[in-house]
Formats: sequence, structure tokens, C-alpha cells
Amino acid sequence: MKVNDAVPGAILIVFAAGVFQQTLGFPPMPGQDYGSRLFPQVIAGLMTLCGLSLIATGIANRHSEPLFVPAEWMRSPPHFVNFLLLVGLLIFYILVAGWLGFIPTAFIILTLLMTRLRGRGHLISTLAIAAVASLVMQQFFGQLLRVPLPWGIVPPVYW
Amino acid sequence: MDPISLAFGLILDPYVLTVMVLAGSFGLFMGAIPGLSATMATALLVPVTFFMEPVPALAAIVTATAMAIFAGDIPGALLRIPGTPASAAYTNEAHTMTMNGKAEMALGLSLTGAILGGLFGSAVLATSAPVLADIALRFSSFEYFWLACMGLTCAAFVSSGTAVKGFVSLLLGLFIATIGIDPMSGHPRFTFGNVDLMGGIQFIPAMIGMFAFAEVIRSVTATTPHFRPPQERIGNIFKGLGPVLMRYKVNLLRGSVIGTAVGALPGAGSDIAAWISYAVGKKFSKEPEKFGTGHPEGIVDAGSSNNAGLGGSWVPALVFGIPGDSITAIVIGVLYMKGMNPGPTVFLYQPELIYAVFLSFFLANLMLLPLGLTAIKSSKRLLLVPREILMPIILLFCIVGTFAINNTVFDVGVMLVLGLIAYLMEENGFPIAPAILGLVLGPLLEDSFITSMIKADGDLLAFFDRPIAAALGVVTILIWIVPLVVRLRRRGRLPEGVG
Repeated sequence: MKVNDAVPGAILIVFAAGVFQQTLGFPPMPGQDYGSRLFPQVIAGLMTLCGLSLIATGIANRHSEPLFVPAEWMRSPPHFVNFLLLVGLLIFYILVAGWLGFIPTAFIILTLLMTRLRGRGHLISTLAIAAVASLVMQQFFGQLLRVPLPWGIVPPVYW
Repeated sequence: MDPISLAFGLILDPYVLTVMVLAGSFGLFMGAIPGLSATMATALLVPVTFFMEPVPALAAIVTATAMAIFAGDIPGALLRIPGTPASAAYTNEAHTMTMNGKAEMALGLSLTGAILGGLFGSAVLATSAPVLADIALRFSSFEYFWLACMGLTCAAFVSSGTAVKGFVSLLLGLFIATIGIDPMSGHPRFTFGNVDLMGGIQFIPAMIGMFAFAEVIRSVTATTPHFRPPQERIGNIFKGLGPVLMRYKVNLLRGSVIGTAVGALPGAGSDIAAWISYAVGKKFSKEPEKFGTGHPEGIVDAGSSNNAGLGGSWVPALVFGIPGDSITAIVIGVLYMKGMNPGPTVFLYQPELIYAVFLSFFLANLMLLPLGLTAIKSSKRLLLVPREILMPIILLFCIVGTFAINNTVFDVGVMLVLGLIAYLMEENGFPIAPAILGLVLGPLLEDSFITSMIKADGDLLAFFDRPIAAALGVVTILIWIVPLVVRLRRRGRLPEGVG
């Protein structure tokens, strides 16, 4: 996805304005000229300058660089679905891993993504790989490195 | 016992050696597969090293990166696809050699160049870092402020893409670093009442998101068909190598020197070192017309340069806490996590740990010989590993690695958001490395500025009171001003020229 430089430039200026507005609420350090608002304000100021420079470049190149050129995958429905699935699966993990548990959630994520990328023809090997990978990951991080990966609906099994 | 004997004891521990061999194999695997870079290998390794003692943790990172940078040459030579960006400079040359039936020679030169360049970089690191650290002991917050400014400026200028885009990336990193409770005033900034944001954005989720998850997005949305594995058999890679290496010994030394120097420059890593060395090699060659036709000279120059760059980039990281590239930016984060605050004092209080890191550099480059040879021999199989299976597993690794640090899914969300931002940025020519450098160096920059101002009672001229600070300050300001002046002068002259 390629956009004309003026687009990130404009986004940057709006973002910098928001940052600056937020810093106005930061209290000054007693007895000091420089406090917690200084750095964010300097960053916002420099972001605005960079934003203006990007807008100028974008306008200068407006004939050669259109405002928005979608990436090839955006025009190819199967690849677009891959992207949505990837992001969706991460959100799915964030939402359900706590109560469903790491092993089932990881198994679902691996199965869905691998089936999508490899096709249904490899379903049996996909299921096997997903199961082994989820269990190995739980064993390695959960048992060996003591990361408290959630057990959820699965009873904690130590082996 | 003296620190060097202690360091030998630390590094020759069977546990550390096993960790190094495993990390080395992991690095070779990651480097040899196109699309998985040395930085990604480091990003995925960090959550695991989080649970180790400092020496095995750092030795693992050193070994994995040295292996990954070399392994990037394998698909470069066999498939014309660089395994890591550091191999891109001479991929064409190496592949043309393969096409001419000299695959063994191309890979042999890559491997020996990598080992010798890597050893050179390690020697420079081991000899120069303690000397520089001695000087750095005299530094105060004023000098550190300028060093951080200089490091960040170079990072933005040297990175790929235009300087403005490098700066935008840097500013984004610096902004992310301000999120959370301000340690000076104790006031929360940009947290919007969210408890998870109070502690700030942790660098591990940010780094995994920007380097690993962004790569997974690129891979699953790639519309170009996957490559076919190579068909040819790889014979003895050392056959006829000696005379060629002897003929190009100057190139070997020059590549190593340039690699180490460029690596030490903040913001420029092994990939830029390889491009520069290749260009320099061509400029000074007696047969520049042969470059690009499967000529070994450029491979010697650039192949030794990228591995030498690794050692070089650790010099500013260990001595000043200023990272040389994105890998050392990650290393600095690891050092802080391990309680080894990078900077000259670590040479004073924990010299055995620093010497152990130096030894791990030498050992990793020596290990490159057997492990690299194994990787070359098994390259056919290595390149057959299907991306459709690998990417989902890497995604799971990203999730678990992110979660492992604070044990909260909030960090998984941070990884998702920053990964998407990094993907969009890279698609539009914004480099990612400056953002990570900004994130790591932001707190140092702000703390050293505020501390200096408290000491000097708000007098900005105090930044020029001490001689080293004044010199660093003048150089930094020149780096800011000179490009602007040159640009303005060029613009002023242009209409005359046109008219």
C-alpha cells in the first residue's frame, strides 16, 4: 500500500497537534524551567516540521505519486483474506486465550492459518503439526522457562 | 583470579557452549530462509534469553547473529534471493558464479570471508572497547546527552530512505518512549488512565511487532510465487580457495576494516557495510569491468565486511550504551534487563562479563566453520522448509515471546498495533531501525538533559562548558546544520543553472 507523502505528512501534523494538546495538562516541575512536558513538546514540534516537509514533497510529486495505490494483495481477494485472518487471529488470542487456555487457542490459530495458507488437502498433517507445536511451545515456555501461559479449560498437566 | 581467566571459565561452561550451538543453529536456519533476517532471529531469541544468566544470554545473541548474517549468503548464491539484507550487496555476483558452475567457490569465499571478517571485528571490539571505556568513565550527563543526540541523528541520516523519513521514524520511537510515568516528575504521560500504559511501552513487544510480526504480514500477503529449491549438488567448498583468498588478501583486510568502522557508526549496520565495501572494492579493483559477471573480488570485500560489522556495532553499544544498529539496539535492551547497564562502568564493575562477551565473539566466529559447513551441505533441505508452516509457528512464537516478559496480553496488543504501523511505514519507505533506536535511547536522552539542567540550574550553555561535551556538541550541531545549508545552497543555485 503506497500513499503520497502528503498523506503521512498530514497524519503526522494532526498527531503532533494531539500530542501538544495533551502536554498542556502536564504539571511543571517545581523550581525547574524544564519538566515532563518539554520532551513531548519538542517531539511534537519536530514532527510538525517533518510533516510539513513530507506534504511539500508529496505536492511536488503529485503527478508521479497518486494519493493512494493499493498493494497487490489488496486487489487479490485470497491474499486480502490472509491478511484479515492474520490480524483476526491475533485479536482472537487477546480476547479468548485467558479463559480458553493457551493450548486450545494456539491449536486453533495454527490450524486455521495453516489450513488457509496450505489448503485443505493437507488437513491431517496441519492438525498434527498444530497439535505438536502448541504442546511443545507450552512445554518449552510454560514448563522450562516458567512463563505462566494460561491453562484455561484444560486441566494443568505437567510431564 | 583475574577477569580474563574468570571470563574463560564463564564461556567454556558446557551449558553456555550448548546454548551457543543451539543459538547458532537457530541463527543459521533463520538467516538461510529468505524473509527471515538476523534482526528477526535476535527479536525472537530475546524472550528466551530473558530467562538466562547474562553470559549465556549475550553469547546466544552473538552466535545467532553471526550465523544468520553468513547464512544469508546461501540462498543468495543458490537462488539469487538474499537470506538477510546484509547479503543483498553481492547476491547477484554470487548467483552468477553459481550459474557459471562455481557455487562451491562462491559459498567457500562467503564462509571464509565471514569467519575472517568476523574475527577481525571481534579483535577490534576486544581491543578498542576497554580503551574507549576508560575515556568514557570521565563522561557526565552533558556528554551522554550529546552522544545520544549524535547517535540518533546518525541513525536517521544513515538509514535507508530519505533523511526526513528516517527522522519521522526516530520521532515516533522517541514519542513511544515518553509514554508512561515520567521518572523525573512522577506524572503519567499519554496513558489515558490505562494502568497497563503506566509502565510505558516495553521494548520487547515493540521490537517483536516491528521486526517479526511485520515480516509475517509481508509473507502471508506476498503475491509472488514461492521460489524453487536449488537442484545442484554442493561439492568441496574449499577446493581452490587458498590461491583466490591470497590474491584478494587486501580486499579481505579492507572489507574487514570498512565493515568494523561502518558497523560502529550509529544507525549503520552490516547491510550498509556490505554495500559500501562492495562499492569500494569495485572502485579500487584492477578489473572493475568484471564486477557483476561472477567475479570473486566483490564477494571477498562485502562478505568479510558484513560479519566484521557485527563486532564493530557492539563497540558504541557496550562502551556508551549507544547502539550501532537495530540488533545492538535490542542488545542494549537485553543488557538493561540483565542489570548490566551498558556504559563504561560495566567494564569497571563486571569486567569478567564483558571479557566473556568478547570471547563469545571469537568462539562464535570459529563455530561458524563447522556449523556453516553443515548449513551449506544441508542447504537443499533447509530451503525446502515450507513457508506456509513456518509463518504460523513464527506468529505463535511472537505471541508467546511478547507475553513472556510481563505476562499480560496487553503486550500482545502492543505488538499487533506496532507491527501494523511498521508494515505500513516500510511499504512507504520509512525505515524501522531509527524507531527502535529512538525507543531505546529516548529515556537516556531525556534523563541526561533534565539531570544536566538540574545540575546547571537551567543554563543551556552548560552543555558547552566541559571540553569533551563542547566538542561533541559542536560536531552534533554541525551534523544537523551542514546538510540543511548544502540543500539551501543547492536550491539557491538551481534557478541560475536552469536559467
